[in-house]
Amino acid sequence: MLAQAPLACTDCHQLLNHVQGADYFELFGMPRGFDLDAAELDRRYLAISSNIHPDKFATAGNEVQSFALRASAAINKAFNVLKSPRQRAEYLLETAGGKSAADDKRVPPDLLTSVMMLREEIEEAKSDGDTAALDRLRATISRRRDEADQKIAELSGELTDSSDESKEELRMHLNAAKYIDNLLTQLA
Amino acid sequence: MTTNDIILGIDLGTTFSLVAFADARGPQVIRDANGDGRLPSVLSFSPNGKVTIGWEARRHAVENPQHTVYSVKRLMGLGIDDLKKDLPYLAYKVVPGERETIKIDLDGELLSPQEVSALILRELKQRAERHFGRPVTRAVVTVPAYFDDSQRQATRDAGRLAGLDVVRIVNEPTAAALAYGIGLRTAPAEKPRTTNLPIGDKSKCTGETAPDPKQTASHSSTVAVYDLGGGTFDVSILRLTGDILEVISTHGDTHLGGDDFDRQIVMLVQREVAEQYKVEIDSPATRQALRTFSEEVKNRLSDNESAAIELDLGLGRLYQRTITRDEFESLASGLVDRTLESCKKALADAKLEPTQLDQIVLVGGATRIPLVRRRVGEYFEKEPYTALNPDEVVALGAAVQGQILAGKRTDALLLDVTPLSLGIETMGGAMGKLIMRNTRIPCQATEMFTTFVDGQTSVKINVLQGERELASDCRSLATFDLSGIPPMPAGIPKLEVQFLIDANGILIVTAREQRSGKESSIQVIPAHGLTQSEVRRIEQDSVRFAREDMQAHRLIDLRNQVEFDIHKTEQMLAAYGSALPSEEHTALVEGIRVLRDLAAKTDDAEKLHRALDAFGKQTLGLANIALRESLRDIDQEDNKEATTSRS
Repeated sequence: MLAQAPLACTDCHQLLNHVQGADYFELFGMPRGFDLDAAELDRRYLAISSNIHPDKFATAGNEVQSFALRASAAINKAFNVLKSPRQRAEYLLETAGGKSAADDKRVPPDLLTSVMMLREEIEEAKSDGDTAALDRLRATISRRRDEADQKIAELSGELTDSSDESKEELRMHLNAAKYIDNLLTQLA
Repeated sequence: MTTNDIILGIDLGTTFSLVAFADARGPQVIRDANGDGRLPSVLSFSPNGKVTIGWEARRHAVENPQHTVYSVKRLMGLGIDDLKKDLPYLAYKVVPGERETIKIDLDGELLSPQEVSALILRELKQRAERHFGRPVTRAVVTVPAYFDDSQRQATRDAGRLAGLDVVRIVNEPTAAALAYGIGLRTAPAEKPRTTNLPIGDKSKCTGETAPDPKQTASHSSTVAVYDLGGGTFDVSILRLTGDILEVISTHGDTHLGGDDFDRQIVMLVQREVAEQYKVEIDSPATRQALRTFSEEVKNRLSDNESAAIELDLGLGRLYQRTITRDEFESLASGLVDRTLESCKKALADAKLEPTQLDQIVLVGGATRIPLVRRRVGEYFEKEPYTALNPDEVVALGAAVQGQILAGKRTDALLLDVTPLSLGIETMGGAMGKLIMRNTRIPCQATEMFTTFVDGQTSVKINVLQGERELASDCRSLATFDLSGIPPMPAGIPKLEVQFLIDANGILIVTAREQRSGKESSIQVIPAHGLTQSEVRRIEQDSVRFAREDMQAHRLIDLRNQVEFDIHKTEQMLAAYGSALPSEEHTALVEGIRVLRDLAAKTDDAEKLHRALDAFGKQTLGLANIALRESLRDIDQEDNKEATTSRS
């Protein structure tokens, strides 16, 4: 059926390879950088999805469907990464060369001690059933998360021509944010 | 419309199941002879091997408790340990099956929940085939959004056993949103649209172009679908932007529904009877009777402030009381709390506050309970929307999705999410998450594995679904046995495993050893489901039975149809027969005699079907006269009225 043909033409293998290997920013035609127009990303994501989602090729052959499935999965992955400020920062870090935050697990000094203390306080407040203390802890930890995110935004913004030191600092803050998130899930 | 174009929409529910289809006029439910779209998901197995499905089975449930199977959806894709809470309320017998599966035990005959569901699906398929007068083989089947991979696989296997090609598994709340958001809208007039896409050069391709992104994004609305069915609860947060329906997040409980509200009444009665008469009422028959009766009480309390309960326990013992709506609500409020807890989680994942939603849609029969409506309205601070029949809306949405997948509707697209995080068991028994919950599907993740022993040629991977940190607290979906790794020293093979969740929310795993480039073969051992060879075996067995069953079933249906058609024809003959040429009149009377004779004597459904068709053509002349005459009658009525009103 002609109306369902876009991926079925000879360009399709190329299209799929392009989608799977492409730089996420290029994929969506968005300028590379931490600051990103989220609404514009959404719009472009929907436009691309309505072209390559497997449902648009349900009447096509198996091969085309499989392409659509994989291309769609690749687009969704890229979209998820760009949409989330943390993952976007990680992606920028990774593509700027050097280690990723997962490879270099260092965190800012003092973080582990303070996380441990907070964890104990949470445990204590939980076993006492002290909801006021839990609310206070939630507020404190949320503030620390916001600070970490603020730091990540600043460091990611200047990533293009940044030194190894600032990359390292970004990695540390990304790792710190994960610890803080874990504390928050403990409070959920 | 040729039959190949039809993709049915099926809502395979805990209490009721429905089948619908959509055409240019929109989606519609296919109804039974009484005009009811609902087929009770109840099956009655008689000793001679006959299976009755639907209202009839439901009516006889109390007389035949151990051979009446209901709420089978609650058993799909689960093991005996998952069902501890359910078993005391089931009047039929459930026993452990292979691996972590269960079987329904009917006097020693063991049936998997998939096989039982297949019987319901087959009944719906036949209902559709009677409607279209042709075979229909493709369907979209809905499942609770919170169903895990095993439960989805089980549903798809049930479809296959029923002879249906399940082209898509759709989440129930998503289907409902589709019915509300897009199904009710007529397809817009096609107008040429162009857009510049950053990927690929599509200029050589003929096909549709995407909607203008600016245009689509111009207005979007956020909707929560609160779906409380017979046995499952889901809440989904969706955004509708132009032609695209995106699920943002979903949460739920696959063991919470109308059944549980009934159980509150069952438990109350059991407790009070035990106190008053020091008897435990717990035989299969009383379980069944209590269940049916508690459901009625619950329904009565939706319309009335109180309901009388009367239970004859024999030996002059009569249990009597009146239950008020307030009492019922205090018993049930914990259940509603649980649903609102899920709403809270779904909203948190969507990063929204309850009041930020544009619309709250109620779906599922249990949302008729006034307490549910009130509490949901209070929580979201908005009057819930209930324009469509809550029993039918899911099937209607599934039919719209069927229409989309048949290529008949291109003005709509569904983008759904996976409800649960997917991961693998790592060393030390932790859950290593690869795909987070509420990730848009299709989605993929890649993970590298290697070997621990020199010359090792296979690797086992335990795939998990769930949110907990420890593998033992998550559900094991399956063990993937990757083999065919070329022998190499330990740690050298680089095994790239790709986990892909397709648009059905079902996992596909592929693996390749990168050094050799060799594709590994994968054997999947599902923890809670049927292996592919088990499905094939049942399929072959059931094809044999099905042919006989189907023949018998079809004959019964055809005979009923013959009776119905003859009756109609005789009525028409009596009223308008005089207007028919006399030779045609005689031929028709003779035709009636021959058809009635054949219906009584033949066992050949095909022959009877052809005879019925021929008879239908024979009555065309009479039908035309009848139509003309009745129109004239109406005209005269109208004229009469017109005259009277003028005078």
